[in-house]
Amino acid sequence: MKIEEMEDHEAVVRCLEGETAAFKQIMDRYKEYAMAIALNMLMNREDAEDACQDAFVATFRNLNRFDPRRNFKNWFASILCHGCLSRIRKRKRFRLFLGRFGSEQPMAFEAPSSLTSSLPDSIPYAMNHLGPKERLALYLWSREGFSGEEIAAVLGCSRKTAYVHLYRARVKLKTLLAEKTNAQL
Amino acid sequence: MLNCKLVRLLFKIFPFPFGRYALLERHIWRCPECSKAAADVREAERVTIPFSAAKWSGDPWPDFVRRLAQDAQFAHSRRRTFWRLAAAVSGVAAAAVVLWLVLVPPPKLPEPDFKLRLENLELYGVPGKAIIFQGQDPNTTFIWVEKS
Repeated sequence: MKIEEMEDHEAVVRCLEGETAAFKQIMDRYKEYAMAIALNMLMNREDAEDACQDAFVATFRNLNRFDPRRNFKNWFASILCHGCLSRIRKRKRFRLFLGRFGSEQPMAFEAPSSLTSSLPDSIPYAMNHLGPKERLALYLWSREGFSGEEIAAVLGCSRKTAYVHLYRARVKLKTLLAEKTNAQL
Repeated sequence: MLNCKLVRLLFKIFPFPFGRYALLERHIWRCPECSKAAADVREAERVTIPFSAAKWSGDPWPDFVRRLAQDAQFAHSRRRTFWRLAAAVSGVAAAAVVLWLVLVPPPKLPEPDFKLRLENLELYGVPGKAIIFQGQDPNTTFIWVEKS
């Protein structure tokens, strides 16, 4: 077991003993990680912050269900991932609801300029064409160096399904980047 | 192939001294298989939102504490609402049962020694004659009526 994991487990035990402040240590360690996951899935900073807060609260409330044999980081990521997916589903339902009244789509759901302005041009273009699970699989694989099994643990699916998400994401990405390059030429 | 995978893994996870690290790096860039894999990762890295963009607008801890308190309050009020609703529903159900018992009289059952008797019989204004026949079934009685 890595030192980081041991520290997480220790913090979890302290939280379970009633020391709420011990959760701050966990939060400080994973707040950027959580934000990166939520941003990659939701593509919207405000939604991402909300989703992260909800995930931290849900994690805190369910600490007694945490299995110490599991990796805390992956367990937390899976809670966050499910929170983000349910937010995306709600967003879709709301869009459908608004669509019935003939309204064209709510500007509030577009990625705010505060996020997109600080990123390379290709990000919103390519990432908007991938599904949330594909975006997350791609992020975890490329930036976090996660294996198929770890991605599967976060997404809550089998290892094969995780590889399928990753494969599809990479294929779509190659196609989109090639299209963009051709268009620029 | 397996060897290349191992090399990439070592390159990724172990903090080698500079010389060995450079050797591994050179292998990765020269080997077509490793080079392609590294290019794939770089390409994916280029499109995903980087860690550096994942900054919070403020400290999340105070907001977390506030949400936790709100959550507890919400759970408490939800539990209270549930019990109030359950009490109201069971009160209404109990009142309905009492009303039903009070308002609907129980059906009158015939007395055990009840016997059938015809005291006066008329058919189209003319006195008639009745034959009462008790079958094998004690609950069934046939009455035959005819003009006398």
